[in-house]
Amino acid sequence: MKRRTFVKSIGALGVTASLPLVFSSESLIRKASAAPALGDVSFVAPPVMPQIINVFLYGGPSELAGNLTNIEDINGNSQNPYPEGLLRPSTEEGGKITRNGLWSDAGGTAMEAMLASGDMSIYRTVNRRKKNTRAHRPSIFSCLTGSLDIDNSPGMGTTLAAILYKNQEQLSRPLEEYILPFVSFEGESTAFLRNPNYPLPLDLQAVSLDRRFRNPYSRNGHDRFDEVLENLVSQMNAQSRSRFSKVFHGFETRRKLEALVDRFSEQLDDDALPLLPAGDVDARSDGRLRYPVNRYTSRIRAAATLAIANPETLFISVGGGIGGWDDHDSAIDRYTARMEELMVTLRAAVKHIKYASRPDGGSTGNIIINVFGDFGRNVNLNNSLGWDHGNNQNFYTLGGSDIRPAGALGKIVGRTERYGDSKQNRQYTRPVEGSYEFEPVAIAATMYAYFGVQNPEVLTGDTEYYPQGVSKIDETRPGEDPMFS
Amino acid sequence: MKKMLPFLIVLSVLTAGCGVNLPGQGDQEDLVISGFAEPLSGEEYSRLDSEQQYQVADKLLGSMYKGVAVADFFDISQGMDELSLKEGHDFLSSVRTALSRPLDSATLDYYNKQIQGDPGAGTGARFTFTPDELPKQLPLARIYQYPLSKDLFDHWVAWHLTNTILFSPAEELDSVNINDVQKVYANLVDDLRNNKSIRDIIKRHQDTQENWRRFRSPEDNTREMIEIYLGLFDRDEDVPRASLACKEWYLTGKEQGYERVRSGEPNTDPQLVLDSYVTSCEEFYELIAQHPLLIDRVTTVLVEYFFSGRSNSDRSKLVASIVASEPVTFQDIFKGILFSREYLLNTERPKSFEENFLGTARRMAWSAPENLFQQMISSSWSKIYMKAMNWPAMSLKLGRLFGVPMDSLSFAHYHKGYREVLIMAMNRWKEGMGLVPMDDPGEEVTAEERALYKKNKERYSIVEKMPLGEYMDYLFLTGATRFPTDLEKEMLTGIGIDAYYLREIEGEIMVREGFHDNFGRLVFDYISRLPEAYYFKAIN
Repeated sequence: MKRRTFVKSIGALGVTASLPLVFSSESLIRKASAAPALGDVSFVAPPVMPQIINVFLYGGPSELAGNLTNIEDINGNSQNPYPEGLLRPSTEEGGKITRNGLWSDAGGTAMEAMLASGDMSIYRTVNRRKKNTRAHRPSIFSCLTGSLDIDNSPGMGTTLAAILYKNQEQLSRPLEEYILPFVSFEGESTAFLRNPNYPLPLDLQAVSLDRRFRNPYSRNGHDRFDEVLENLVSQMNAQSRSRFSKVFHGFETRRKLEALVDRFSEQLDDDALPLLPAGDVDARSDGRLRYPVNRYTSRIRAAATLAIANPETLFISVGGGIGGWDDHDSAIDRYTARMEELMVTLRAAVKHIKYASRPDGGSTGNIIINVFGDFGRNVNLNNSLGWDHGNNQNFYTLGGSDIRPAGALGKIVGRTERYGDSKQNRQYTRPVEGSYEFEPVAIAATMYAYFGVQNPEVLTGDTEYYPQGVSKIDETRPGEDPMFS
Repeated sequence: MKKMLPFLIVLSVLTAGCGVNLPGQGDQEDLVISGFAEPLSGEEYSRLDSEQQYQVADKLLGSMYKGVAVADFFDISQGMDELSLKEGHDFLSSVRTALSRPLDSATLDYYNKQIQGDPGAGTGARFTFTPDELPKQLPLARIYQYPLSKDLFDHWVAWHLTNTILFSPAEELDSVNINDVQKVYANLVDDLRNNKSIRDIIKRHQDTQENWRRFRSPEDNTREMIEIYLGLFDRDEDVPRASLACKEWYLTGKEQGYERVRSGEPNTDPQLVLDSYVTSCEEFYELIAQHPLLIDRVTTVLVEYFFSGRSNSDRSKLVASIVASEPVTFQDIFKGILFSREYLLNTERPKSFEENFLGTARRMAWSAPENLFQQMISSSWSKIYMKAMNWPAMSLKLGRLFGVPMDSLSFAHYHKGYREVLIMAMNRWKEGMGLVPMDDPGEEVTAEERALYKKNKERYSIVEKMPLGEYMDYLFLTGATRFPTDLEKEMLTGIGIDAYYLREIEGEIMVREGFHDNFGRLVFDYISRLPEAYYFKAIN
């Protein structure tokens, strides 16, 4: 009997009956969370407190905007051809490959400028080898919890808060006195998943803000009763604190933010933006920075504004819709436009940070913007003219010259090759032998290290999947040669 | 004591002006669930005190965006100290029966015309809609307006499912448009109306253009079917093989209208997927639909939402208990959850905005504005725009991901909308609750307006005579589904006196004439500031 005939012959019940018992419903319910090994952390407070803006590209962006070094081979083996211009250098008419192998009109020109000014580095080989998956949920969770044990790990922002809280005697002032230390511009974020085994004080839990600093925290009507009603509420709140904790927390932060948010909204005034050097491509006629107007501007500008205005905001998560970068179909035009918008916005944000004046006159060289996503994508252009889920992805990291080691910025690290059967869908890039590469979880490890964790491996390791843990990124690795001289 | 069934019919008749609905051919036998998820019995329910019975009723009805006013649930004619139930212990079985009973076609037609108007008959619409957002606004209007019935239940089940990972139309994607939303929802409602099995519904849904506009390539589509319907996130090696089975299908680009088309080159080699061989996409979809994990997974997704406050161990036991009862339809699972003792007595969880806002609106006999559903679904300027609460309808690719979002920004919008649009809008509930008298609107009004007048007349005659303590009981039971504490009574009385809403006459403090509504708003404002107002409460 042919296999196909066999399948048809057993019918629906037969299919069901033939399946092994490995499929168990036990695994379908999420497991409880456990604390990361906070007690094993070796901590030395950094001389300069970093500020991290974590921009997560949900859906998993293709690496091609930042890596066209294999495009000829990719195109030769793809089921569907790439646009002809992608195969030629940008120095030729209609060509789109920049000097460093970037996709010129998918943000490549903006990236080249940021590389040249020493404001950015690109790592091309963020490659998942441990507990590899191409599914959204486990990929997002491992990236944003900084752990392979996704069902038992809090978010990376929560872990950072816990580390700093536990070691706050080493900080210049108690962490609980910081204003808005942990902020989300994406509502509830996996980066701030709570740790039930290590509850943090209310002031150290993340607050989510509107990306235009609008103030829904205020109350209209009945102002004259506000104080007396709030007094009564506070007397009744003894049981609410634990029994209705989520909403209790919501009310507490509402109260705090009601007065605070308007303070930051003033900073969004265009006239509060810094003056740029003469002739800068992002300058208005009066010389001040001009942000582009696109879908990313408000979130990224708000994050940069908050970080500049409030040095006590230590970790900011920025995200968007899950479907945004999940380019399974009609990918080329949409991805190109999206990447272009993202990178010109990041270029403006980097200049915003670089040329801004802080109220206390301090440097803004402690602000880092990290950009990455769930995973990379296949490089085969499928029959819906998109890219399906892959693995290898780019890590774009910007700013933070005061925090990083010498030589960390202005380079591209990692070399790749195409892999997979010609004219089949599952073709992707992978690091060439000898190339530097790291796990996605290393991005969290690096952030912990910036904040003073000497052994981030204890936070990224787990008992089940990778006990030795993942180390921070080696930012002293030399950059690759340009694709074209 | 009156029975509940007449009460339920009264509810529908009051708004419909139609006759009694007798059981029809669509009546469904309910699945018997035993073990951990077994239903709360009428006997147990009758042993609860009146406050608890009202809380259980609120949880059951509120979960379906419904609510019952205190004056409909209790006989308040003898005052709040002498409360007696209008329904008795038949409440649960009466609701269950009602949810299995389709509206007759005349009644259904009446409600549909009431909601959208009947230009032919020259009658206006109760609600306004945004034409290009109608497929998202109309379902919620129907759920709000239909009486308890199988039609209501099917719509509510479909609404819930299209907001989960299981059936979200994913309108946020470029390749999806509002017609896809309409098709996913309408097909689901049709299937539910016909009591189709879960397996049949999922088999059908997978093989639609709408599903392909959400998951847009063979690899994307097959991967997501394995993950979404079976909960298997670690079967990456199966995906390329499954996608080969579906290799004939692809989605065209924007210019070609995102059509699902065949290449004419079907796969001919059997592919080993999930330990079975499939050759075509249809076989792959059949494999998913008949897989032993399917019912576990679907049940899990629903249990994770409704029992979000419970431990992992309890949720596992609930899934096991429901699955062991061999549910066939989605209605089996939803009813299993809603009527379970564990849900009604032992679960405490945040209410979604629909559950809280619409449920409370019903308890307060709130008069909804015509554009209510435009505001909730589509109006970014509105304080009750659910997208601002990170709770958009039918939009997210993977459905509403985290349960009810309670981050500070989402909750700030939630609280603001709940308080300022519902609670503080005194003119929309003061008549329905009987806090002020209504003028006779005459006979030339809608049945709904006439019903409101009758209720007002009945209720006002009781409420205006209530002593202050009982009046506060009435307000608290309506707003918080509980009686006030002594401290609350004392403090709110003090605030009410200072506000000139209350006064003392011969040692007795009472509501000033004409200030029942103002004092009611003060009390409701207070309740809206309590965290408990945003939760379905556990009884035990």
